[in-house]
Amino acid sequence: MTARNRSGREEKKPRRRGVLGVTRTWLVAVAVLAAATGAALLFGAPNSSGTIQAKQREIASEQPEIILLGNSMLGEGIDEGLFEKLTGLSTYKWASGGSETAYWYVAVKNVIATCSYRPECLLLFFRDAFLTDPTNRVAGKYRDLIEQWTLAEEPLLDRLAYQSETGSRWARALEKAWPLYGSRRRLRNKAEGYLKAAMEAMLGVPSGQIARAADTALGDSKLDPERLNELQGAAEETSVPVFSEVVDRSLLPEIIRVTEDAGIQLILVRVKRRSDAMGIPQEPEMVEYIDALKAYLAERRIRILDFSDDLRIGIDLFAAGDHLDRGNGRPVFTRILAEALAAARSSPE
Amino acid sequence: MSLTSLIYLGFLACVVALYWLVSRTRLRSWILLLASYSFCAYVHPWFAGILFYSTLVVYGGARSIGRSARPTLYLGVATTALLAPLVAFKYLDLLGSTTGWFLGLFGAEMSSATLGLVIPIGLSFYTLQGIGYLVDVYRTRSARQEGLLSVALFMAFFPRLAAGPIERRDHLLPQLQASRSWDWSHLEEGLPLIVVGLLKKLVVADNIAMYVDRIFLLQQPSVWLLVVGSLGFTVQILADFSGYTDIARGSARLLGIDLFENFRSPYRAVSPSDFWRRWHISLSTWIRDYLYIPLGGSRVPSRARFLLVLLVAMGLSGLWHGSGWTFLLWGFYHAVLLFAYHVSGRGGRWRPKTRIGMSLAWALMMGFTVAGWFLFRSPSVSWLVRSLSHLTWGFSGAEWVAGAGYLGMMLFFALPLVMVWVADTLYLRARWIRGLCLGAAIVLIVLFAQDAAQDFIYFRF
Repeated sequence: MTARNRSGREEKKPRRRGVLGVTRTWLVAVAVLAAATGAALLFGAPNSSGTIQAKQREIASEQPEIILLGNSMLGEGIDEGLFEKLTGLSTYKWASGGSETAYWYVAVKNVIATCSYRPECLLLFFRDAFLTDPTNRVAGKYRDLIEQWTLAEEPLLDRLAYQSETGSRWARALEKAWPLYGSRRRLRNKAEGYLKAAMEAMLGVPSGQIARAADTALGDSKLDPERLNELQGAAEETSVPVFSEVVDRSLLPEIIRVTEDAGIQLILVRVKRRSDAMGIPQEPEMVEYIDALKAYLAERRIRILDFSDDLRIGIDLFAAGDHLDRGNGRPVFTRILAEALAAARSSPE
Repeated sequence: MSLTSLIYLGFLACVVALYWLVSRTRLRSWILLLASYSFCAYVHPWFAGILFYSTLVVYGGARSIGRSARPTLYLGVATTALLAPLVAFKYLDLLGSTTGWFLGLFGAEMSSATLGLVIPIGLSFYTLQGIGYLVDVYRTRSARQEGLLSVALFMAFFPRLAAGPIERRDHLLPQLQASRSWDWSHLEEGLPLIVVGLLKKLVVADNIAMYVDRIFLLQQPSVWLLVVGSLGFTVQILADFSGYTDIARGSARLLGIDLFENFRSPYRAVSPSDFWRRWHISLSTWIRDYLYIPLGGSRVPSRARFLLVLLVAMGLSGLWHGSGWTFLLWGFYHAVLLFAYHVSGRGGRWRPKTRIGMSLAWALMMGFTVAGWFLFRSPSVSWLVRSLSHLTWGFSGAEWVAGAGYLGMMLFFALPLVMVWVADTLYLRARWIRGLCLGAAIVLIVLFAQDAAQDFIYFRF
């Protein structure tokens, strides 16, 4: 495709070309694109109604009294069975690794609040100031996570979550206008799925074994904790915002409104991070932010359980990064949360 | 500004349009200079300040060398002044942390505070290019001196600013100064290069990087996973860097300018010398012409001295890549390889005479290359030592399946490289086939590019 001859050397004197010759080449390229777009149309426009309905059916069949919603810090930190046993409340744990506010917003709005069965209580696990940052973790693979639960039109998500991601508004518009671009995630996932299935067949292992093996052999517990902390620190090196300046540009008010309308009690759970357990004092801006958040929630009669300075969760209970150790940390935090929840539910607001 | 971003493509389109709209050569030079400084200052305005400082040093140094009776002194002063920002921005933290570690061995404590300076875009590349220019002026002592505008454009020309190719005075400057007229061949050759570059970077390198990064984040990987990770990185770094070079060359081509070819099928090399004639050619020839040969090259009287010359040249080449001891180790590793091949009579332009010999030599060199990339990609020397000292040859079933799965995915994402190679080898002249390949490449980019593209590896250098 490059202008090189058979020996791999560049041609010194480019031949003079006419506009017609160049146009011809690009017309063929455009025809290929048009054909690929047509093929993408055959698969239909991307929609997530199937996954939403499946999740709602799952929740409705389990009829949990409590739903725990969060990312891997919930996934690693809470033992669902033990929690059920300690609280006596049927529980559904929805932990999606890497998820943040934008994900939780669509999960609450499009799945939990519109499910035929509604739980009494929703515990939402968060850390630091990310609850009011709708732009956090909305690009790349995180976008795929979010898109599983979105509807065809998500104006608030478009306006708040995708606003600071360079070009993503354009990307969103392009997704709607160009079927090939709009269905790229689905096509890509399909291709990767076929490839994994073929590899599993070649290796003679059951379906889904590659993903499970990767979780075992390359899971978080196998990673170098020091480097993981460095990378995490570098990725999340942002200044703490002033709560009053960001709350109205966040998805938090809408999460509160949707749960209220659905008659679900929302409880926020602030998890402890490794840096908290190491005794590193929180920045004054973070303390101010959390105080303001608590005052904001109190006004709206929303409870918050803050474990960031709970001394029972020591550094020895952590595995890699901010994740609690499954063997030691998980049961301890599960007990602490169960106790705190029981106390919160029994005391007046 | 990343070369894979829509912002860059829009910027390039504007510059190309403006460039060809005006006809006066001097005005075109000013347009390119303004565009280049805008490109440089896009991330931080002070990046342009460092570039301007280096330009002044090169311009002033060249004038002094050309006119003075003591050119060697001026060459030394200008080179030192040119290297100062590179040392300050790139190596001070490494020196500080290493000194602290060394003093720690004797019980002394030193603050581990680091400056954490951001390395200005392209600093490593334009510093070498500037030194090359000064040495060329010194060697020729020509009365002909380029003006400040030409030197500034030579240093800043934006398609190659961020990560090369490292250009030479004789090659780039005459092109920048020449008057030229629009030809559709600029478009016909430039755009496909950009598409191929985007394909290599966004589809091949970025996707493979996800798997490689995970493996090199493991605390103690098994041999199997290290092999998989190193093989993946071998493909990733070629796709990443040659992808950047293709975009840079394509962008320059749209302006009617030819940049150096930086890669010539490097993984077909049959010896270390052959490899360095094919990999990052503009750097390896720079090292050869301005460091290796002036140090004596292969004509030094003893083998020990030859090894020393290689260690210095390749060690500095390694360190140039990054302020980490793993890079130095990688440089030394290649120096030892070059030395071993040379003393066994397989240096220079040696090639096996039989097909079997060629295959064996290729396989051996490929193994050495992959091992070299393992050193290069290792996050730190301590990680490297820990991994190698606790290396486990056996592996669990999960490791085997996960590694095989990763390898399969990486091979899948490497397929476009094969597509490009086939298209290049067959040298597709028929326009409809070229159009077909371009269309297929764009479809692959649309489908498989990550939403959040990663920086080019060589941008960090």
